[in-house]
Amino acid sequence: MGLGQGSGGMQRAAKHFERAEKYRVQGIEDTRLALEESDPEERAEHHEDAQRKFKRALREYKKATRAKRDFHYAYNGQGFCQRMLGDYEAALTSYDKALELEPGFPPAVEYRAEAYLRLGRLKEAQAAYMELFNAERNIADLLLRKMRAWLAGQQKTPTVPANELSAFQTWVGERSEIADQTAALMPGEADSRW
Amino acid sequence: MKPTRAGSYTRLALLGAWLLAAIAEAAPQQAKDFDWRLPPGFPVPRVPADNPMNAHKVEMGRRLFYDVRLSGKAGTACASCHRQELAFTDGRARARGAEGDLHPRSAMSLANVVYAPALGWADPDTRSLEAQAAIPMFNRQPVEMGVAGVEEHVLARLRADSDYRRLFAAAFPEATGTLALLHVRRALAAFQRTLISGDSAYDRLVYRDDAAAMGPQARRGMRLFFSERAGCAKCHAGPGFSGPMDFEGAARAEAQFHNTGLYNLEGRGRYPQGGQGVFEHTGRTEDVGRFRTPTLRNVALTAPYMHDGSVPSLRAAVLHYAAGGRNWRDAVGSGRAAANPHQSEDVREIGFDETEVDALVAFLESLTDWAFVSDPRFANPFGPAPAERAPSAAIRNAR
Repeated sequence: MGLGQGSGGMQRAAKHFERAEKYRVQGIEDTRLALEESDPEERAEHHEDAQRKFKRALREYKKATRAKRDFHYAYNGQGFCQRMLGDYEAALTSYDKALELEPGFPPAVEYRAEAYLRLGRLKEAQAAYMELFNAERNIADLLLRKMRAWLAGQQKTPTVPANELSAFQTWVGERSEIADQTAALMPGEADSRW
Repeated sequence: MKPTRAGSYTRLALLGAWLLAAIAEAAPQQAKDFDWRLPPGFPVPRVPADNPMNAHKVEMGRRLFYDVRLSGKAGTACASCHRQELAFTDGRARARGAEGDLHPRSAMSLANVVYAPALGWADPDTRSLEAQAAIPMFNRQPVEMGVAGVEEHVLARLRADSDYRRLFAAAFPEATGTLALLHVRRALAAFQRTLISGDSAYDRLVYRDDAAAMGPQARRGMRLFFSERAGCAKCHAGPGFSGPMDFEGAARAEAQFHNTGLYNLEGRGRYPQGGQGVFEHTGRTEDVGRFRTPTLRNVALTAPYMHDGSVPSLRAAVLHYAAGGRNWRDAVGSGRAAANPHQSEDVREIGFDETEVDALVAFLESLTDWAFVSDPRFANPFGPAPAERAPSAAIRNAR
């Protein structure tokens, strides 16, 4: 419970958080539709819908964090929406807050790493990957896929210097190999032996 | 964007911070609360509810582990067969007991034993370190520590020691009587649970992102080790390289036992008497020759290999698997027969070339954790200073 907050604050926080989650899921769905849409006008429409939902979700997350100041889930959601709205610096601030409240919180570590990628802060993204690799392999694998996708995008439109890009590409290749090799060494939900 | 991930996070979030916090508060905390000093990538060990960890108990266990007064004739300690500089093995093909008896099996490494779902080479039923500790103390065939029949005598020695009295009071604050063998076993188990090894070159590469930790030959060996063709990781899985692991919050794991084709006496799949594996516990023919997968961590320090120490070197062990088993027709080491009918399907001829064997050996050597074998936390409290007990030059040069 946050400092100086009673059950009323918790209830308000829960109400806003649930609303925010609803809008966020809708925003994610609209984003997916935009990505799958081949018609440019339709795509733009889905994209606008998504942005609208993320803005609504962001407002609700902010209300949730005002009602419960130690609500790391809400700060994480807030960061997610800010990132989807293109405000990466604000997203980093939200993720930092979530991680200050709940150190190592894997979704925030992963989302923050995606924001780092967008900002070209590759060393910090790599450090986040290692943190996840040692704590939540499934999420680390997901981040590695995001890194590969980001690298593919950089081939078309580079935003970081060539030497940094090359070093990062080599690192992603090596970590992908290690991840593949050691996948069988990790407890997996589907593997009954564990 | 992946809706599945978003959905997963959403569900997680909707469980509510409060619900998760409530669950966390209700769950036993002590295993997580103990300062394990876990290496990156290692899960929190599972600890029995009736033997919670505390630093005094671990220290008491360490003293007992190295204390020869724990044996009937006051000449043998656990550490006699589990030497730190050899990754808690003894360098012998087969262990030797307090009265000179030769054990039918070699001393297993204790590195990461806290995660083992079953203990010993071939005993699926001994699943706790507390229960296992009784075996060497009371075993009569062969005699290991020779405590059976002289329990009170052994306990009197320990009770007379003021260090044990002090540690006992701090380690077992709930105890009402005097030091008993139950406490001895529990303290030994607590100490052994701290023997966690995860600071090898391999760990520095994989878990700490130190690309320079392993050379190209070891990296090649690593690729081979994890390849479908070699299939080493099918059995030597888990961060411990010993198969399924038991740890806090996971479903109970089951140990794996394999017949690796060491023997095929008379061509009928038999193994030498006293070393017949799980068969000795179950009586089932298909269990003849099945032994638990040992850890490969620190394997360069734990020669000779296999349950009876009949494979002298790391290179010979790799060649054993490359050949798809040894399948000696007699028990003294000759006459390769056809594959043992009970041999594991995962042990089949692979046909490595010389450079591949070298690479695999280099990889296995990269699993040596020099910090573990010289860690003062695990060292003999009665013996020389830890610095003097560091691995010998001969062992280091074997890298």
